[in-house]
Amino acid sequence: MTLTSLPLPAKSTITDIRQLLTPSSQIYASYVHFFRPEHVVFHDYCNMSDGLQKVTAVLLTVDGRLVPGLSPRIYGLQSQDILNIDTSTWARSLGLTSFSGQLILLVDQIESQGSKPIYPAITAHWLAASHHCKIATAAFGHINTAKNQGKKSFFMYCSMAVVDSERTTYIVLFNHSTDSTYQDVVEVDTALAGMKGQQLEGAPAKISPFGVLVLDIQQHFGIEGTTFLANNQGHISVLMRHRGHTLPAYFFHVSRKNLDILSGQHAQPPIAAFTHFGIWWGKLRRYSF
Amino acid sequence: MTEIQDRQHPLFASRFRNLGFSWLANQANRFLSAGGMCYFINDGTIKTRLILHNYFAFLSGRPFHIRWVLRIYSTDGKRMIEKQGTMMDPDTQTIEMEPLVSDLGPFGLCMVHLYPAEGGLIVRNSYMTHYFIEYYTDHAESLMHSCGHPVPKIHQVTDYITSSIEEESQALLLVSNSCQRVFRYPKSLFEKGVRVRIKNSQNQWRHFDLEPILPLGSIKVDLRHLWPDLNTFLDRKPALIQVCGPNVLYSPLLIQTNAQGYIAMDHIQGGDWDDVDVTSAAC
Repeated sequence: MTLTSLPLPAKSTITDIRQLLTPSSQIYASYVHFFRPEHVVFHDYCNMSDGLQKVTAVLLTVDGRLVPGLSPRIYGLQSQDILNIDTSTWARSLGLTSFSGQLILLVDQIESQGSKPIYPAITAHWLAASHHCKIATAAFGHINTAKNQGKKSFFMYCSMAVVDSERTTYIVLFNHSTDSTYQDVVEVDTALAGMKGQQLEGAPAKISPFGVLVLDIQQHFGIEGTTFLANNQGHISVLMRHRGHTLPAYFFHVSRKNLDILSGQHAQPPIAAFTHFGIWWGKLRRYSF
Repeated sequence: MTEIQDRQHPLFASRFRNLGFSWLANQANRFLSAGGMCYFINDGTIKTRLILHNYFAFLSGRPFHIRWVLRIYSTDGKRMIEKQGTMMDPDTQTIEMEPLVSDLGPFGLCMVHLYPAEGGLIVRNSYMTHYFIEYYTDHAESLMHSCGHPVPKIHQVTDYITSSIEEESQALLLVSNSCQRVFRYPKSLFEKGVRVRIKNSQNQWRHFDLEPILPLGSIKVDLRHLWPDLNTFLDRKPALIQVCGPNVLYSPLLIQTNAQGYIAMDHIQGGDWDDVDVTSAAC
């Protein structure tokens, strides 16, 4: 791997992730989760652009603060350089024996030969003794900026929520921005939907700026939720609504016994299904022979 | 009414137009729907279930009648079976694939369409279908979302992913051809194959050329069979894997399993999508 030397910020000068954001930063967020020695979290990335990129990595707590004692790591990646961030080892080196928080990668394009940009895509891995979960997602170039603040909507569903004697489901939402002045707290409405459409409303959930919501379905919906789940054989959909912001989202099946992450995926915003290509003639044009 | 508006996605209603006639709307929605694709696996170890959710009801904040159609294609893409159903509330429909796919091969493509079925309502533009898939064994599971949709047009695709491949794992790649037409498939689709490339962290490349994949057919590639010294080549570091060829579905699946039975999957990212002459374009 060719790692170009880039200036590192002085450790004492960085106290907030907003100090690291530049107007060109693309932001990627991942959930970092380890509670046992065998839990391993790492991230893989390749610079698919045609020039030098700066990748800044930070670990944040669930409420959006830098992990105490942390110095951001900065990598310079030439085109097609591959980066592996052993995230759990990094967090453990800061004295953490267990952690539920975030890895943020800020990707800045330093040089370009003018080729069409490709959004950075990062693969996150969560390993346990007998499980390996991985999710590939992309970074955001513009999210919750001053220009669109308050104008977006976030309707997320997870139709694969499971709570049974062995597993529970986590919904993980990030309240992030590419705007260095961002400080919005968001509140998300939560509900469960049964296999036949019956619904149970839950308490709203708040997320601090640059924070992450880690919502354990079993705990969040309490006794009513337990009864609701029992009536649906433990298989339900989770519905989350919010107006004003966009919130990148993951969901995970987690072992109740040892908190292993068993599997997971990123959510798909369902409204995106309707905002796809073109109109009628747009589709007809695709029938060229 | 206020409550419904609070629960409705502000863009949702603007995506529809009322044609007035349900028979006309049905035809229009079928034409406009691009659907959503995924792979089924039923190889004796890994099984598949699809989970469809009526997000039309979720986005509209009220019951919304939809029709779903599932088409499952054989490994060679030449045979297909179909299942249909309806949903009204924010229902969730779980479909076990094992009993449906026994005659279609160990893996293949699935396509799902969710169509609005509310009188004369049509979607104003072409639209996709989203859903989730669960791959599971007796010991482990992996979740995936639908990946792309078929198109009739011929195009050259370069998909990629950066991922570590665990040394003790089996490493498989599922690749398919997503070209779908009613008639007249172009000759080039049957002539040009797919190139799989892999790069290690020392910037060394290897590649392997696969035979052409038939339209809506799928192929499984064992990376360890292609490159028996894969562990040495990668040296415990991540790999960049590229899949390049005509109408490769966005996106191929990279599957890792091991003796303990875990399944780790990720889908390859769409890199380039060029409308070029695929017979002459190089990977």
